[in-house]
Amino acid sequence: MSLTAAWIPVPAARVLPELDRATLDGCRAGDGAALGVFVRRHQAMVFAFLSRTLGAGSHVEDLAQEVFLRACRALPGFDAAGTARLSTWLLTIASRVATDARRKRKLSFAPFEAGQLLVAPGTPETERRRAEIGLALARAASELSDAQRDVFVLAEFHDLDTRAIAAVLRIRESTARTRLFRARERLRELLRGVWEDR
Amino acid sequence: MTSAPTTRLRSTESEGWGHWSAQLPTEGFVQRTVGAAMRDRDEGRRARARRSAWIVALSLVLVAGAAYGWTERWAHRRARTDASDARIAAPERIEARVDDVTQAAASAVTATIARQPQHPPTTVSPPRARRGLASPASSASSGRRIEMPRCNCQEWFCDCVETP
Repeated sequence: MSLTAAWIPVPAARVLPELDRATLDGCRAGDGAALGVFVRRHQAMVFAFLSRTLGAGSHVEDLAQEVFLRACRALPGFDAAGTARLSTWLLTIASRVATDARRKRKLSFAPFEAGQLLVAPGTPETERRRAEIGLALARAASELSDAQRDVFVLAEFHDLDTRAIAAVLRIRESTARTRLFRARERLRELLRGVWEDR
Repeated sequence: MTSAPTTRLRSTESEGWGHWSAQLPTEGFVQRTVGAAMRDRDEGRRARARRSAWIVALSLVLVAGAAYGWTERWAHRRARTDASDARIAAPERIEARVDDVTQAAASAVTATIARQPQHPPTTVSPPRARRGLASPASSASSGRRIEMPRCNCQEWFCDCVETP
């Protein structure tokens, strides 16, 4: 499977249904089938978060696997009856993995390149245009700082409010709000031409 | 003028962000991840077992060491107690031996003295007066023994060492 095939524009992952209790208990017990359900349910979300915050590449898959391994180790300590949702908890782990990856591997955000976008032959002009807009968005996001991009991605693509973002990133809510405001302002400035063209 | 473009921008944004593509999981990611998780779990279990074995071994060594040390200390204390008991009993025996030695030495000295020949008593000659420093008494009574008064006792004073 080529890398470009993985770059079909997809709608952002929205709120996922939570895992049922039996599956969660199976994951805790190390049941392979339950773990399969768990990974299948959340893999798109983890890939989306990591690829948008760290950029595209093969490292995303390695890091996504690291996220699930850490989650499997920590699942016995997860309180399903608590306030945190499983998806939010998983995003917390993903954000830590991303932070570690930036620190250890000195990763810098790499936006999509034109060759990475899959535009099938015979695609209507609107689809081509959508792909171009997506590329412009990714390039604009690469201009943000890592902290601003994390907050922006969590807010825009994972439907987290500032309180949840603050909990996921272990920052104050006011800090999350400020970062989100500045990220949006910066992106509006960078994408002014793109929006107005549409 | 500024609010109108912002409103237009926001409405466009809400549908526009969806165009920012995300990387999709590759095929077989679930199987690979589940396999890795199971291996990690087994490895974790083995690591825990190894750690437990180490802890048990270390505890055994510590317990054995403590038991050995305690036994040694106990034996040492017992030996010290026995030694102090022996020291308490020692003086009688030592005194008995000292008495024996004293008596033997005394009899040996007596026997030695008895074996020695009897010599005549030695006469002690008075010291000769120095030449040129003869006292008037010595010049006046040469050859006679002069008895010096040992006391100068009067009614109210006496410098006697011995009782007169």
